[in-house]
Amino acid sequence: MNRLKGLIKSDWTEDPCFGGGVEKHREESGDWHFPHSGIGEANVGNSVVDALLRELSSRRRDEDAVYRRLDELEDRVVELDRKFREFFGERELPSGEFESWLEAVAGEAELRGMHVAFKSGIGLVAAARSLDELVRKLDGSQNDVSIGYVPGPTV
Amino acid sequence: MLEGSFRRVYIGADATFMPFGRARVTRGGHTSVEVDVLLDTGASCNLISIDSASTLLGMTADDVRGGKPLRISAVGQPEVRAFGWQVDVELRGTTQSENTEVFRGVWLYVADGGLPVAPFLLGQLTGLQGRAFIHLNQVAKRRWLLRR
Repeated sequence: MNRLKGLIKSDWTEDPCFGGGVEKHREESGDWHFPHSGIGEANVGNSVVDALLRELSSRRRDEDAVYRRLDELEDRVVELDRKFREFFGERELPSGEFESWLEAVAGEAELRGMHVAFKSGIGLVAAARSLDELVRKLDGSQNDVSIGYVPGPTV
Repeated sequence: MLEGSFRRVYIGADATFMPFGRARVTRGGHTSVEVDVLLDTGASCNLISIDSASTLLGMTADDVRGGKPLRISAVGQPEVRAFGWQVDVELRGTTQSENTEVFRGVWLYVADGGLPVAPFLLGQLTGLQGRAFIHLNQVAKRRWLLRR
């Protein structure tokens, strides 16, 4: 900002936007249009420069705030994208031995609509048309097995 | 959040995929074994067939008929009587899942007859109602997510 102020100050008397412009305007209209019109040309020029610098400084602050906000939004987008991929990205669920076996036998017509009992390392240990019947067949040993159902159109 | 998978279901010669989870039922002091449950977002009630009542509710068929009466019609089936009992249902995605969700004091209706496709349906009424059910349809790797 100091560098910018120095550049503007050295040129203001020549630049029609600053001192030159103010002087020309005064000659043509006889009216300064500034509250400090009686103080002198240099002071009027400085007040214009100061006003512009204040405005530039203010804009710069606004721009910094916008860039900070953009950086924050970018971080949020990256994080949301990561979460989106985590939830919805293509990946396989950890499939247990029981689920894999059920999927494998889903196409077997004789098991469709049956309640089944599965034991790890052995496979099918019992099957029945109803859950109560299957549990009776297991006769108290149902805690050692996984009980499932091979979907089918049973009514 | 619960996460589970879809299973292949054959209706006639055609296969389709439906979302299944694992559930156990608690009523009074009785807690059932864990069984398969169809997450049926199109069903109004939580339903089981009467030939699963002894295992899931710990009651005889005669006792079950003393529950809150309701008449229901399953898809393509004639209307049947059902009897409601208030239970807790503990749901998880698969036998490998660590996360569970307990639906407390929900009405589970026992249909006096068989049910199409699956003998245990978790439906909307005091079941899946108020939850977000997300179906991730990815070729052969279909998954579901259930969130509050």
